[in-house]
Order: sequence, then structure tokens, then C-alpha cells
Amino acid sequence: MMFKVPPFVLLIPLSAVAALSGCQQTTPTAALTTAMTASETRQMTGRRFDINDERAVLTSIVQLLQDLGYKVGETDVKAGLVTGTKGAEEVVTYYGSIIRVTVTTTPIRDKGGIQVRATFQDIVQARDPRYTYARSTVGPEVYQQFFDRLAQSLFLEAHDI
Amino acid sequence: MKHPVVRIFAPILAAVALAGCQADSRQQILHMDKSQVALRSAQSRAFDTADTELTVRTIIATLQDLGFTVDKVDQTLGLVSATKAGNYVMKMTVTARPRGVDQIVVRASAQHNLTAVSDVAPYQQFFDSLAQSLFLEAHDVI
Repeated sequence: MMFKVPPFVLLIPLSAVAALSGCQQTTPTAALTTAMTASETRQMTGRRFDINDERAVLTSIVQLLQDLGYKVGETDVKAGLVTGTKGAEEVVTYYGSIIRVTVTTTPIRDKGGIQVRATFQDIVQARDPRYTYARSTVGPEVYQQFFDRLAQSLFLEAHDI
Repeated sequence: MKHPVVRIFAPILAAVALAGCQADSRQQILHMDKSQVALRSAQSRAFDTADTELTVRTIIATLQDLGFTVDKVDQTLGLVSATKAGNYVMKMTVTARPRGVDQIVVRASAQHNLTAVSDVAPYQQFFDSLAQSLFLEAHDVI
């Protein structure tokens, strides 16, 4: 014998699934791994400059970020760090586009000189972070150009231009 | 023409799905899904060094290795906060503070999209990378 099931009863398990899936969180392990090894990343995003004045290099980095139209955010001489942003920091409508950069300096003890490292992120920011994503526009050529310009910037400052 | 039951229940289903993720914000303010001791243990490691400045620099380098950009640094407090976006937003706050005269305790706390991360695995990954960069072994704190 078959019972006649009212159609809305079928929706009860569906609702339960919907309620649970609404709160589904993925384990964020992917965020702390990268496709490249640390040394590969460091090679692509870093360059050694033959100068021992870390403060002068940090000044050049700030000048370069100004050249490139970035707003300088955090600076810390003791940590050897400058950060900058370009684009919409506040998401006024649904989405905003922002480029974030972190540049660090590290004195190289044995060989001498300063290692400069940059990390760029090109982000489409949503008001709800779950809809924020990164664009894959930041390749090796971006870093190449950045360091070429930094070399120019160091040269210009060394000659007071 | 859709069946009337579908017309009525589709919005309800959608509402339920959304409500499933809508944590009560009053609960969220002081919410923890692990004990304080367990959380601190997962988030902290001790390193045999007394050089806070170098530790902070290495924390920044490790975060850069992992593709993070820095939001804030305070060498006096030994603090670094950083953000990474993929198809998610991960925010990390990392602190380095001296313990005794020859150790530094590094603590990391992460937020993934809207939620605080309490899983052990992501922290383990972070400290593995940090230990490699510091050339030091990471000791459990608690």
C-alpha cells in the first residue's frame, strides 16, 4: 500500500541540505601553500642591489611607488618594509578593484648588498569577502619591470634627480 | 507555469540556505570553537632565538613566500598582519614575543573569509614554512 505524500514534505530534507550547505566552510589549507617552492618564488620576486644603505633603498622604493601612482601605506625601516595600494580601498558598490604591493629589503650578510623583494596582488574586492578573488595578472614580467624601474629610481636618487 | 508549491517553497529554501550561514552576530563577537588552551597550542610555537627584529623580518618573508601582502607591521610589539586573496580572503595576524632570555614565541591567528581558523593543519603549514626560513626548529609551547 502506498501513502500519498504531500509534495511539501519532500522539501523538508531539501531545506535541511540547503541550511547545511549555506554554512559549508572549506578547509583553508590551500591559502598556506603555493604552486612554486619558496626559493622559486624568491627568485622571481626578488633582486639583489649592489648597495649597502638600506634606508636609501627604502626611500627609492617609496619614490618608485609614488611614480607608479600607489598610495603608500605602511612603512617600517626596522622591518625593512614599504606597502602600497592602488585602486578602491573601500568597496562602495558591489565590487572594487585594488592592487596591493608589499616591498621588503634584507641586507645580505655574506655577499653584501640588499635583497629587495616585492609581492603584488591584483584583487577584485567584494563587500562580502567570500566573493573576493585575485586576478592572475601578476607574472614574472611585472616583477622584472618593477625591479628595472627600481634600479632607475636608485640611480636617479644617487644623482639627486 | 511553475507548480504553486515550487513557487512558494523556492524563496523559503533560499532563505533557509542563507540563514544557515548567518551566524548570530552577538554570538560571533566572543565566539570560539575550541578551548583557549587548545587554540593557543595550535597557533603558537617557540623558537630558540632572542632576535625579535630578525624574527619579524622572517615572518614577513615567509608571508611573502606564501603570497600574502602586508597590512601592518609594528616592530616594537613584534606584530605583522597580512592578507591574501585567491578565490577566498585569508587574513593572518602574527606576533613574536620574547619568552625568557633565549626564546621567542610566535603566534599566528588566521581568518578565512568570515570565519576564524581553528584547524590545526593550516597553522602547522605556516610554522613549517617559518621554521625553514628561520633555520630553526619550532617547539610546541603548551
